[in-house]
Amino acid sequence: MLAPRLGCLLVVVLALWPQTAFAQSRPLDELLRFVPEDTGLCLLAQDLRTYTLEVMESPLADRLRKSSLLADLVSTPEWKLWLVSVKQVEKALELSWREMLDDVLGQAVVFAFRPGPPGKPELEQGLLLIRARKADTLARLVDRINEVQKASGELRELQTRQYRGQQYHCRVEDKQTNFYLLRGQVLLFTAQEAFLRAAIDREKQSPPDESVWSVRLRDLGLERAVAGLAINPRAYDEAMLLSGENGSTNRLLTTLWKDVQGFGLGLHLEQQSIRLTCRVLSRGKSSHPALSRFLAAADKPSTLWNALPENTLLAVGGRFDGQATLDLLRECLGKQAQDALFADLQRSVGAMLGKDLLKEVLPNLGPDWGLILVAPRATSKTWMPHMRFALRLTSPPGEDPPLEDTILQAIHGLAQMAVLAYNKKYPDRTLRLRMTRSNGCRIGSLTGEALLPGLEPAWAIKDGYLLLVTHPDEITAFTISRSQPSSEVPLLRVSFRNLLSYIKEHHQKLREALSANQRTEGSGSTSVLATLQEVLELFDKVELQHQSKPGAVTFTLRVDLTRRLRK
Amino acid sequence: MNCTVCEELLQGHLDGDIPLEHLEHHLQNCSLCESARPAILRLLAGVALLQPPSPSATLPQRIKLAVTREALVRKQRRRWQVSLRATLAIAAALVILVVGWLWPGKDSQPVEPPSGDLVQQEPSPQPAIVPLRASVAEAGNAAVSLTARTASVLPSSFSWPWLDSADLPELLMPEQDSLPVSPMLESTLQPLQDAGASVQAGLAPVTDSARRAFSLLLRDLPVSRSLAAHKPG
Repeated sequence: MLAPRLGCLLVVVLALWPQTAFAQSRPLDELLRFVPEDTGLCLLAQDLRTYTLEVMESPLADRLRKSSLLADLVSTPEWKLWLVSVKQVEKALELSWREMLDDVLGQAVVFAFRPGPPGKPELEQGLLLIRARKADTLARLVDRINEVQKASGELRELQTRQYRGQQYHCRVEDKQTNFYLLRGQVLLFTAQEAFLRAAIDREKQSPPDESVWSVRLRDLGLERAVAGLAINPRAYDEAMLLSGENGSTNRLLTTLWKDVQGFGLGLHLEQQSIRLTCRVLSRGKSSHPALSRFLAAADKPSTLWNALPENTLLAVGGRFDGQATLDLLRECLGKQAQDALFADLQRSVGAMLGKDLLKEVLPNLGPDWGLILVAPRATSKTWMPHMRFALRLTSPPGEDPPLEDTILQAIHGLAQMAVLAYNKKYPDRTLRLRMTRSNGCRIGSLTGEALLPGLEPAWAIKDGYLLLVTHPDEITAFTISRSQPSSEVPLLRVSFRNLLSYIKEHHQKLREALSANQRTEGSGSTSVLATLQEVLELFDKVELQHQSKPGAVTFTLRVDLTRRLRK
Repeated sequence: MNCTVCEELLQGHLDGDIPLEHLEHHLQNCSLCESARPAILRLLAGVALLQPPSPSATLPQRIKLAVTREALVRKQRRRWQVSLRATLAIAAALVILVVGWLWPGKDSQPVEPPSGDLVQQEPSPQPAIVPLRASVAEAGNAAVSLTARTASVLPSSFSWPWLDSADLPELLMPEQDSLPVSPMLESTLQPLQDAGASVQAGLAPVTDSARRAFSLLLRDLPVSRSLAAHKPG
């Protein structure tokens, strides 16, 4: 008996579900129903009230309140002036800043922008849309602004107009006329009446579930962003087409532009991190062959990410297809410039290597590359971090001499020239060229009293990688391991945690280096390091990642914090 | 290689003082230098392909261009540093303006007007009807001053003086003009820089649009036009 009743109940709930969902549509979606489809650009902010309250009560805010940096700033005359002037605005509007944020701006704000036609930027149009939490507060604010500006003579006349059964107002000022529509919790404001009418039209045509811009924002991953910028590429087609008539680079851009379906920038506040995303939507697989190959290579993480030392301060790395990069470069440069560039490169680098640069060298560079900065050990006598650059070389089978040997000899030759020229110029502090061998790997390096302590630039080929480092130990320590398939491809990582440890471990040496620089006195250098430590304590790391799936490429810059950002 | 004789012969040959035969003779007879023979010969072949540095008629113009470019690079570097600081300052000021205003306990303390040159007139007594634009403009100017204040704090806190290449002693490499690769790199990089500038120009319709959208947003608001027109002293 119970099962049929439960079944009936489920059917009723499911039948009502879409209506319920629509009745509780998000404030942002409510505004986006007004935004005309051909709008070029949308700026948005949402849930400011919720985010502000959560951030205010977070451990991070608590830490910031105790920060000396902020305490110093809050005690400045500028800060006091800001407080006084805000009080004046609050008094004029009869609305506190807190009410403004909570009840008027705290739910959703959108600014829609239509660019003017090419050559006529003055015909651009803008529309500000606000979805307030409290309709009465919003109405009171609008009335108060009109009232105050009428009394001061800024507003000369307020007219009421009608369009498609919708009442809106025209504000006639000294130099300009602007228009607004107030409907419950929603306010639309513009200086262009045509845009307001287009918004009214759009709202009447928008489907009840999702508007065009809601779908666009969802595809761009901005539906939950606290702030964002979305661009509709079709609004710029004409301008890009005209731009494409100027040179080969722009022609390539115009070709690629046709494939772009959307572009979005978003700011996301998470529990313990801040994310800045940049997403480009395209028509599935790129129709441009060189770009497709370039993106396919860049779509996997570099093997170098699997073997980062624990004390890495900074790491940059990726993958590229040498031939695809070369082809893209060719298209960018145009015939004349590429002929000149490649002839120049062949005369110099190609001649030194004794190979055809375009056929035998550049296509065989990569795909993996990486650059890292590693903190010295705590016991090290020097404060100088070590740098390591690695580039994979792929020598075709049977090539004689192999590309690795050719490049190594060329670097050796350059180093010889450098030593000769330097020693001739500075006979009292000479450089020396040193060749050593470690685990079967030949390492070339430069030593001498001319170099900073701890610095010994070195080079080698190891495990198929060309290594350029600031100390031979980095070559000995270099290892690689197979990369794991991952949907997220790291491109950059800065570890603030390691940077903080590095500053603490080498504090004395860094302080001396700063003072010796003659820019900072002893106490000044201590202060600089103390300030830096105070700032670094708030952050864990910053990472730039690349993620791609059919039709969408996303770059994400994530800042991880040491404390929770939201309560 | 660690043979000083070879180094001297090589340098002498590069300077045009010693014929190639002397160096060849040494390479044939010195066991130390024998292993480096292919590299040295390749190096010499590469150097031989370089055009001799004879001064051309356009030399003065090129020097002038190089100096101008160097000045431009320095200016761009300064502008980049200023932009970074300004961005950091604006971000910091925005956070402070929003979060700071909601600071717990703020309302319990009376706000005293600041002393000094920043305030040109006493906020009280207030007129019966406060001119809204003037009030908003004043608040905006206060925000600008606060941003400038934040920016003035940042450079001393976040610059790493020893990373400034101008201050590094000449110890990493000889001066650039000692090496023939320097002019080579310069001429090689120029087309790439031109291509980069071209991409920037190609995207201008979109990037300009974003900038214009921000300007329009500020211009159209009924209470903020005076902000755009009014500049702090």
